[in-house]
Order: sequence, then structure tokens, then C-alpha cells
Amino acid sequence: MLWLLNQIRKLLIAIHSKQSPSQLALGLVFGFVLGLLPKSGLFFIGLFLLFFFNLNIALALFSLFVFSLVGALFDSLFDTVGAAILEASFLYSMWDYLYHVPLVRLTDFNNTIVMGTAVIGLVLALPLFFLSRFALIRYRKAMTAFIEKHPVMIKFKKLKWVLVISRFMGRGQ
Amino acid sequence: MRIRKGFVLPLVIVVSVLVLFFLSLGFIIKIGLVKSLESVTKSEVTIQSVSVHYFPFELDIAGVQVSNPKQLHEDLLRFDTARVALSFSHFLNKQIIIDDVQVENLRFNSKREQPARLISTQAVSSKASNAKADDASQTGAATKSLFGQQPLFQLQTPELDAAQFTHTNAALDKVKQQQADFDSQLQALNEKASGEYKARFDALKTRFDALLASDINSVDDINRLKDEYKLIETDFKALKAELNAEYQASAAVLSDISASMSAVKLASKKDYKAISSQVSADNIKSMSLTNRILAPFFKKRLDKAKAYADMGLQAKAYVSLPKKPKKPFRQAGRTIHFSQKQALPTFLLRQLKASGDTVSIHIQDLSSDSKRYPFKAEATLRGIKGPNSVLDITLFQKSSTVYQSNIKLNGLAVENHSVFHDAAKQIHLSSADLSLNGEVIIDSSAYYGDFYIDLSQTQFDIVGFNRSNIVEKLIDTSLAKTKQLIVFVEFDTAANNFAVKSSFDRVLERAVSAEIAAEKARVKKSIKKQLDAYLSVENSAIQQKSAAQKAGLSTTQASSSQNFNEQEDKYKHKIDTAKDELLKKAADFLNISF
Repeated sequence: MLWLLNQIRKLLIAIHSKQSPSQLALGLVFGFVLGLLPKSGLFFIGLFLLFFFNLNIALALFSLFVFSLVGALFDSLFDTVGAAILEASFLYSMWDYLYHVPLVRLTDFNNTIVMGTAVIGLVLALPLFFLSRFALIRYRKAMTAFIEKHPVMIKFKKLKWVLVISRFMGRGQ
Repeated sequence: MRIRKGFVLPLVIVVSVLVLFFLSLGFIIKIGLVKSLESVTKSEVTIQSVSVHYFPFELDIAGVQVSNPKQLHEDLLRFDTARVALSFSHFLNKQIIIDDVQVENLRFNSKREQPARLISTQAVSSKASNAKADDASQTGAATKSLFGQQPLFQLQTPELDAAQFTHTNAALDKVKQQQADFDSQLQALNEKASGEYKARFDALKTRFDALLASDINSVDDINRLKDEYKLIETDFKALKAELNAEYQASAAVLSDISASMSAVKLASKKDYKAISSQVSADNIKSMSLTNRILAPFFKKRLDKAKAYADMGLQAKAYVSLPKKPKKPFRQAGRTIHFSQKQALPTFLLRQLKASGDTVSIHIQDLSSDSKRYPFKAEATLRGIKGPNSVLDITLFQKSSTVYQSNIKLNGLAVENHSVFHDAAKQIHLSSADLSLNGEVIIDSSAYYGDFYIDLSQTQFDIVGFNRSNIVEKLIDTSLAKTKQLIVFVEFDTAANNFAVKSSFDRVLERAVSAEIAAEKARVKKSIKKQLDAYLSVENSAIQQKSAAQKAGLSTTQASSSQNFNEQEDKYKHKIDTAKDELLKKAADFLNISF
């Protein structure tokens, strides 16, 4: 629970940080795809890659957690989609080739749910990226204006000790 | 998308570690092989070197010596070099594909230059316990463990003390008291015979002598003398009868003693029952504390243990709690296999060749899929030390579906050294024959249906578990009743123990129950034997005394009767003479009168 609270705190910090909306959106999308995947071969490969890219890890982990819970609800859908893809006759030779490549088998791609989640995740990844990026930009603009104009914030900024701290931190007005 | 700079250093470290790992892989494999072999054999294992070649992936193992823990001057197994060619990439797919194994200069039971060392003290203790068990089995006083060093059940054969036979002792004391009473009674009777009875007899004699000496002066005198004579005669007979009655009464006491001996037998039965149930109770008490504490958690196993305990056996439950299958958070989905090219089986040993002065082994296509890879094998073992001769065996050859076994044993009786089960298709050579300090079981049933192979299955145990006749018999009989056999051996190296779980568990369980019943009978027999031995000694002493007493009584009675008869004869003559005199006296008197 503490971890979750910490992640939410980091998430809020991240949203209001100076990181670009693209980085944040990428973290969210990465977490989304990984969250949907069953926790087997392909998931761990993705998790490994997650730490290599310059994206917001807090947001990625948070979305991973959320979409792991959500993903379980749609397993039957993933199963159906995955089975349809794996059993498609025109793709058979490709799967057969990959099946006999030792390292590829580590991804468990021949599992219907893994295939289903991977495909659905990747299909939804791009729209989700742009959507979340757009939403973040709008949110930041709206929230910044709202907070700046909020009477509590105005009073808060006028507090002596806030001014002292702000000056001390080099961010004073 | 940019790569994080902060991850470059960890990446370099990881790569360096991987490079180091691959460079030292030979050393790691060598250590691993030595440790794992030593943990099995409990004695020194030496591997000179292991070198790894990556393209193609091959292992060169040189100078392997596996010492014999029971004969530290000997090696169980030794070979100069072994080249193992295997497919590394298939490991990633959880497959073991061994393309080729070439073993050169393989030798069994060869002499060592220096004696090997035992790896742990447990090996010594197990050796000692095995030796003890062997000794005990000769006298039929021990149950061998089915599950390795830790006994599943162990029988307590008590050394009984004479004081424990309370009922028997009480009955024996009664008999002994009766015998002592009889002794004093007989002595008193003898004293009475020579005292009181003799005095009464003497008195009769005096009366009789007086009768003979008396004068006849009237008819009344004649009548008086006649009456007196009859009286004396009656008294004499009464005295004789009285003495006889006393002796007969004493004889009746002896019969009572015989009856009491039957009571001793009944009492000993009571003791037998009481001691048997006490032994049973003691065994339950002696169940380990752990088992008692863990009882609620391992109910199934404990029930079994209790059943053993109730049968008068010390029980140690081998606990392995079946894990409740967790409900998966997510569905498992289906795994689709693509078989345009047939995937390799889980295990495949394409070829193994081993050669040495005494050995020649050639195995082909040992796999988990016998339909696609028909197994072929030949092994010739020559000059391997047997109990009394040279052994020359060609193990077996297999066509696609039918076994053709060809075993030649020179100088060894076939029935003693090989066991065939048509159902299980098992070839079994006992340790005594091969001096391998263990057993070689080649279990061909594994080639049918679902194949499961691991080394522990193929070779149950090399060292440290002295497979007893009981287990051997159990497994043989159980195999004969099992159509398809899958054996799992779970090793618990920490506890130095292992459990055998298999599809013939139930069959084995029944066989174990039968063995337990036999063991129970043996304990009872032992108790009875000890009790009977004690009773026999006591009985024989009592019976000897009884016989002596009977003889004594007969002698005394006979002597007393003889004494009376002699006196009777003597006085009969005297009476006859006296009668004549009396008649003469009476005639004289009558002539005078008339």
C-alpha cells in the first residue's frame, strides 16, 4: 500500500514536473502494454527494456499496476484474439518458423493470451500515446491556470515562510 | 527515444559478469559436478578438468574418479576422458539434447593410488547403520527403511526381563509354594508313619502276643479270645487303611500342582498380551515430538503413521504437505504447438559410446519420445568383479517395440542375479554382481506412454542407501502389478533423505502394510519366544521337582505297605500256629470238662 501511495505521489510529481508530455505518455503506454501481458517471458523482456529508455518510470510502473488488474478482466477476449491470430492459416508458416527459433520461444508467443495481449496492446499503444500526450498537455495548461488563480494558492504564496523558502530555493519571484 | 546514460555502466558491469561467467564456465561446471556427485556418493570425487567449447557447444571432462565409500581403496567408476556434445540453445527451451557422448577408458572398481576420503560423517554413520541393519537382518531383528536413511517405521524389539512376567511369576510362585507345602506334608506323614502309626502297630502286636499267651480255662475264654482276635484283626486293617488314605491324600496334592501348571500357561498368555500392548503404547510415545506437533498439519501422512503406531511400530511420518493449487489470477490460455518441423523431445541422447578394458557400452536415441526415436542399446561388461566369478553381460537390445534381451552370465546363476518382468520389462542387476555399490535399474517401462526421466529414476541410488531385500521385493512385486510406471524421486539433500513417489504408490503401500504386518508378527514372536524360554526353564525345574516328589511319595508308600504286609505275613504264620495251639488247648479243656 505504501508503495502504491509512493507511486501515486511520484506520479503527481511527474505530471507536474518538467518532463515532456511525450516522455510521460510513453511511460504510460509502456506500462499499459506490459500490464496487459501475462507475467511470463515477453513481459520480462519488456520490463528489461523499460529501464533503458528515457521515459517516466513512475508513470510506467503505475500504469503497469493498474492495467495488470484491468487486463485480467479481458483474458477471454485476449484468448479469442490470440487464438485467431495463431491459428490463422496464412500466418502458420511464420509462427512455425519462429516456434523453432530457440530464443523466440522464450517469449511464449505461442500462448493465445500472450499473443492476444501483445497484439491488442500494440494496436492500442499508438492511439493511447497520442491521446495521453494530448490529455497531459491540456491538463497541464488547465491545471496550471486553475491553480495559479485559486485563492488558496494566492494566499499560500503570500505566506512569509513560503516566500523565505522559495527565495532560499532560488525560485522566488 | 534516447537511451538512459545511467544504464550504460550497469550494462557494462552485466556484460563483464557474463563474459567472466562464460570464461569460468568450465570451472563452475567442474565444481558443480564434483559437489553433486559427492553429495550422492558421500565420498571423494575427483575431476581433473572440465573445458568448455562454445562453437559447437562441447564439454571435455577429463580424469574422473568416483570413489567407493565402502571400499576407499577402490573407485566405483573411473574414466580418462569424456566428450559431451550438446545443444546449448535447446536448454533455453527446457530441452536437453545431447548429440554425442564419448567416454574413453571407462573402468569399474579399479584400485586407487591413494585411499579416498569420506565427505561427511553421515556417510560413516549410514555405513555403520547399514552394517548394523545387515547384521540385524540376518537375525531378523530390524526393518529396513524404505525412504533412505531416515526410517519410515522402526520396530522396537524389547529385551524382556523376567520381572516383567508378573502373571506368570505369580502363578509359578503358587506352584512353588504348593511344592514346598507338599514337601513338608510328606515329611510330616513319614514322621507320623514312623511315630504314631508305629506305636499303634506295636500296641496291636502286644495285644496279639498277649492273646497268644493267654490260658483257656473256660468256654468263655475261648469266646473271649475269638472276639479279641477279630478285634485285633479289624484294628490292624483300619490302621493300614488309615495310613493308605493319608498317602492318597498326599498324592492328590501332586495332582493339584499339575493343575496349577496349566494355570501358569494361562498366566503366561496374559503376560504376552500385556507386554505386547505395552510395547505398542511405548512405540506411540516414542514417536518424534516433531511428528506430534506437526500432526494436525500433515493429517494424511500422520494417519498412516498412527496406523503404523497402532500396529505396534514406531512411526516416523515422512511429511510432504500437498500444496493447494492456487487459483490463478489470470487465465492460462492455450499453448499452440507448431509441428511442421517436428520439435525435438524434452530429452534426447542421440549417442553414447563408452569403452574400456572391461566395458563397452553403446546407446542410441535414448529419448522421451520412443516412437520417433527407437531406443537401441548394447552393453558388454567383462571381467567385472562378481561374488565368485567373472561377469560377462550383454545387457539388452531393443527393436522399435519389442525387447530382445540377451544376457549372458558366466559362472553366475541367472536366477540369482537378474530379474525380468514381462509387464514392466525391467532388467535388474544387483549390486553384489557388479560391485557398483548400488543398483543398476534400467526401467524400460518409461519408454511407454508419458515418459519421465531423470537420473534418480534411472538409477535409484548409487551409494548410501543399502537397498534391502524388502525394498527390492516390494519394488519387484509392485512393478509386476503396475502397467505403466512413473517414478519420481525427490531428494532432500539438507535432510539427507529422499522420498520415492510413483504411480505404484498404492501398490507399494499395500506391500508396505504387508511388511508391517510381518514385522508386527515378528515382534510378537520375539516376545513370545522370550516368554516361552523363561517359562520352559521354570517349568522344567518344577516338573523335575514334581517327578522327584511323586517318586518319593510312591517309595514311602510302597515301603510302608511292604512293612505292613511283611508284618501281616509274619503274624499270619504265627496265627496259624497259635490257632492250632488254641484248638488243642480248647480240645484239652473240653476233654477235661466232659
